[in-house]
Amino acid sequence: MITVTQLRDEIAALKVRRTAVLDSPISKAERDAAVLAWCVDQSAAIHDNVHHFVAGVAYGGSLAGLLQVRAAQTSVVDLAPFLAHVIGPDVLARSLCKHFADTPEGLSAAERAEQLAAADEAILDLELAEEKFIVASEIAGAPIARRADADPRAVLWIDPDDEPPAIDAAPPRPAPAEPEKPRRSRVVPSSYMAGSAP
Amino acid sequence: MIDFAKLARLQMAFTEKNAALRGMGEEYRRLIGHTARSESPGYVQSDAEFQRVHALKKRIAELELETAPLGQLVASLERYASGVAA
Repeated sequence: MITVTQLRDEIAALKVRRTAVLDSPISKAERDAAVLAWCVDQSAAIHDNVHHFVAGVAYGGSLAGLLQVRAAQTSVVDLAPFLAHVIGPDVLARSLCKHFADTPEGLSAAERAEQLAAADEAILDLELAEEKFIVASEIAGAPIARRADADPRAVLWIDPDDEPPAIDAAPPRPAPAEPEKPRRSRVVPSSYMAGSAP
Repeated sequence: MIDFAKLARLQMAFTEKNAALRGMGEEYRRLIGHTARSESPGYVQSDAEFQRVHALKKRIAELELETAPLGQLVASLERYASGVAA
C-alpha cells in the first residue's frame, strides 16, 4: 500500500519535472521568429531617419553622416537599427541565427502547454490521493499534518464529478533566503517568546 | 463545491495552536522574569526553573514547526475559497 510519504515524493518529483518543462528552451522555429521580429523592430526604429537621408539624395543631397555614430566615451552606441535597416532584418536575423546552429531543439509553445497541462493534472491527481489518505488517517485517529503548499483544490474541493475551479494565479515565488547575519548576543528564536507573535 | 466545514476545522486548529503558542510564550516570559530584549540566562534562579524554561522553549519550537505550515496552508485555502466564492 502506498504511503503518504511516497505520494509526497512523487508530487515533489513531478513538480521538479514541471519546473524543467517551464525552464526548457523554446523551439528553434520560435527562437528564429523572435530574432527576426527583433530585427524588424530594429529596422523600423531607424526607418524615418534613413528615409530622410535617402530621399534627400534625389534632390542632390548626400548620404554623408548616415552611418556616422557620434558618441562620448562612456555612452553606448547601438548599431542594431542601422544594420537591420541597411542589410535588411531578414539578412541580419539569418546571420544571427547561424550562431544558434548548435543549440538543442526546445519545446514549441504548444508542446510546452501540453506537457505543463499533463504535469498539472498528474500532480492534482496525486494531491487528491494524498488528501484522501490524510482524511482517512484523521478518521482512524492518526492525524497527518498537511503540507503548507498543498493544492487548495485537493484539500477543499468535494465534488468528484465536477472539475475544481482553477487557482487564479500561481502563488508568488518565495524570495531567496537571505543568509543569516551573525549576531553577537543570544537571540530569542521565537517571536512567541518575545511576545511579538502575529 | 468548497468544503467550508473542513476549512473551518483547519482555521480552528490553527487558532488553537496559535493560542497555545501565545500561552506558552507568556509562560516563558513569566519564567524568565523580564522581557526578551534583555534576556539573559543569569536571570533564571534555580536548576529546576532552568530545566522548565528549557523544556518550554523546546515545546514552543516543536509547536511552531506544526503551526507555521498550517498557518500558510490556511491562508492559501482562504484565498482559494474567497476566489471561488467571488
